[in-house]
This record gives sequence, C-alpha cells and structure tokens, in this order.
Amino acid sequence: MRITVRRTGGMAGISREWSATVDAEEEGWRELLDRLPRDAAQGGADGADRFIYLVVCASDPETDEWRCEIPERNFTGPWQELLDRVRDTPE
Amino acid sequence: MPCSVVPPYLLARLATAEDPRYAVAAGAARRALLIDEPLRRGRCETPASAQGAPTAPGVRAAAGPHRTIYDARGETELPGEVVRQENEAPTGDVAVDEAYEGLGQTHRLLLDVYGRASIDGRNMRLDAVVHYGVRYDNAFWDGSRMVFGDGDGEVFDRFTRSLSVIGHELAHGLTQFTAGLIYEGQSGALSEHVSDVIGSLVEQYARGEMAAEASWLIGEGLFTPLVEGRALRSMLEPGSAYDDDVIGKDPQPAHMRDYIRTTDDNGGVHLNSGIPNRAFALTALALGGPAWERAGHIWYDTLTGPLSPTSDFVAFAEATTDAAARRFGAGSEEERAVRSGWSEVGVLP
Ligand SMILES: [Zn+2]
Repeated sequence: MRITVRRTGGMAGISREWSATVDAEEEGWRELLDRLPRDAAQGGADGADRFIYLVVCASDPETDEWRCEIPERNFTGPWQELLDRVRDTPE
Repeated sequence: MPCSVVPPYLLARLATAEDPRYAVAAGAARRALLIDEPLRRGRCETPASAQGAPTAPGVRAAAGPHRTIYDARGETELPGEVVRQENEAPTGDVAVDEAYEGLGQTHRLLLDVYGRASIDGRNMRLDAVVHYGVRYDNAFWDGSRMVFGDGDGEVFDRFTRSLSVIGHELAHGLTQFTAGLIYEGQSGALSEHVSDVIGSLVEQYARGEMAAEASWLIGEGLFTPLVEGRALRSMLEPGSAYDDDVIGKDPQPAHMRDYIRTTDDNGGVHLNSGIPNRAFALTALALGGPAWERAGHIWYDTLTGPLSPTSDFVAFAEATTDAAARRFGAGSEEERAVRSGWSEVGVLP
C-alpha cells in the first residue's frame, strides 16, 4: 500500500509531500489505518494561513484508494501518528 | 486632549445601547471610551507612535495599541502564557519583542494613515502568540489572534523576523472585520493579496521608503542562509522570490494567463495572489512617492467599501478603479494608474 501525505497552504505557501510503501497487514499499520478519524475532514477552517493535509492511501491494484483532506487543527492524534510513521519509513 | 467627565461605566452602558434613540449617544460614547482608554490605564498622553502624521477626524491620537504577547512554550495549546503587555519593557526574548513591535507598527499604519483604530475600528486588543509548536514552519491568523512558529532552523528562521509577515497576519483580522473575503479560490487569493499589501505597506511606512525604494518582498529574512532565496514572495516580480534545491522554485504567477487551477491550498490562495500583488505594486510605482498614500488609500477604501465576500479578481479590480474615482475623481491620474496596473496583469482589458 502506498500512503502519501501532502501538506499545502501555510503563510509561505510552500507544499511538502511525504510518502511510503507499506505492508498494510504488518507492524500495526492496519490497526492505525482503522483508527484514523475520517470525520476530521469536516470543518475547522477558521482564520487564514493554516496548513491543509491531503492523505491518499492506494493499494495495488488501486481498487480501494481513498483520500481525505484534513484541516491542520484536526490533524492530530492518529493522523499525526500516521505522518510520523510515513516520515520514518525508509523508501 | 479633552478628558471626559462622563463616568466610564455610563459610557460603557451607552456604547452598547441598542435602542435606536441612543444611536448618536452610543457612537459618541464608543469614541469617548476609545479616547479615554489611556486615562483608565493611568496615563494621559499622545503616544510617540501617533505623532507627526495626519490623523483622520473622529479618531484621536490617544487610541494607542493594546498589545498582549503570549508564549506557547513549544505547545500547540492557545493562547499560552502572557509574557508582555502594553507599556511593559522588552523581555529579552527576541520573538516576543519582535511580535510586540510589529503589532505596534501595524497599528500605527492603520491609525496614522487610514484613521482606523486597530483592526476592528474600535481599538480592539491585539494578541500574538510566539513559540508555537516545535520547529513549526508557519505563522497564521486563527480568527482572533496571530500565531508564530520558531521555524525549523534549516529552511525557516522564526516567523516574527519579518515585519511584513506580522503585518500580513494582522491584516487577515482587518479583512475579517471588513470585506470578509471567503478564503477559497479567487476571493481567497484576494484575502492573501490584501494581507501582502498591508504587510508590505507596514514595512515601507516603518522604514519611510518611497514606492521606488521598496523591496516589495514579503517575508524577507525568513529563510536561513542555506536557502537560495530572498523572501517568500515578491509582489513586484511574482515567481522570482526563491529557487532552491530543497523547497523548489517560487510558483507564483504574475499574469492571468498563468493562473493556477488547483484544489491544493484552498484553491491556490497563496499562489494566485501574485497576480493582484503585481497590479498593486505597478500602480504604486506608477504613482510614485509613498505607496501607503495614494495606492494604499485606494486599496483601503476598496476593502472597507461595498465589496462582496465572494469577489473575484475582476470584481475587485473594478472596485479599486471605482474607489480611485471616488477619492481622486473620474479620469484622474490615480484612476488611470489603477486601471493600467490591472490591465498589465491581464485582469482588466
Ligand atoms: Zn495569509
């Protein structure tokens, strides 16, 4: 499974992207993916210059690709855990 | 200055009176509260920041800023602990003191040049939070206060380093209290544009720079020396601010033919703002002298005038030419400069 986290927005307007290819059935990935609060995508867009995270998970073949756009203020808990794990996964 | 004899509690009651019979008294009471604020704080003087420049009638020079700086101490809970309040001495923490000074400079431009007491026009307190998060590469407006990260130290230095960035964030509050531009697509890019205009004007006004001398850069000094770049954005030459191996090239378009359609970044609000930014810089350069005077006034009038929250570039451009005609006359040099600025970036014919 390919997991991509793309961060856009922010005062500087400079995008960053992190991705990793993982075995969804190993090392707790499935457990983490199941814990992701997908309803975090709603609301929370007050103010200006905050980051926006786009998370895309695609399996191969791409039968169950899903994507979720999450405002920074809701990008906490399991979402932040996911990003940290993707960053720490060697390419 | 005239010191009011009406007790503050009565003024406060009048100022919030909703009965239409008291409308005039309520307005007067609100102004008096504004004027009397320094008195209640135990002093009655004209702050140095409000001296030497014309102040619009109705807003008294004593309507100085009410700043509070908070320290988030590396956490993301807002607002954090109060570390410096109005009239308190510098703390020695450079981010705290830069935020304090930057809020003062922004307040000064709004009051001295546009006769506006703070971002809401009623001398609202100005709050800023520094040391937000860990290695946090951003500054934002959260709907009621500004928040600044320290930067990661590799690409970004602390975000309070640049006066134009502080002015930019505070201007999001100004837009919230005035035009209320929706933060999405073209109206969102206009919100970004207005923040860059005010941010740049705050810096130019503080330095006493004429339009021709100004850098027209936003966020100068924010990148560490490791980055190949001058600033986050160039208002005059969008797309030229940086070109670096790690962060890439400045993606801002400078003309409508290069307008970026994307779902990222609320529809490219930090990208397409390059187009109106260049129109403003060209207008200010064509008019010469201090940009905050003629070009700045026209843009301020536009923001505070009849402007729809969902305005696109064309609607905003037309509103600026209308504002120029209102203030300086139809067919005036100013109106022609505005129209030609928008025409050069492909927004108006
Ligand atoms: Zn902004």
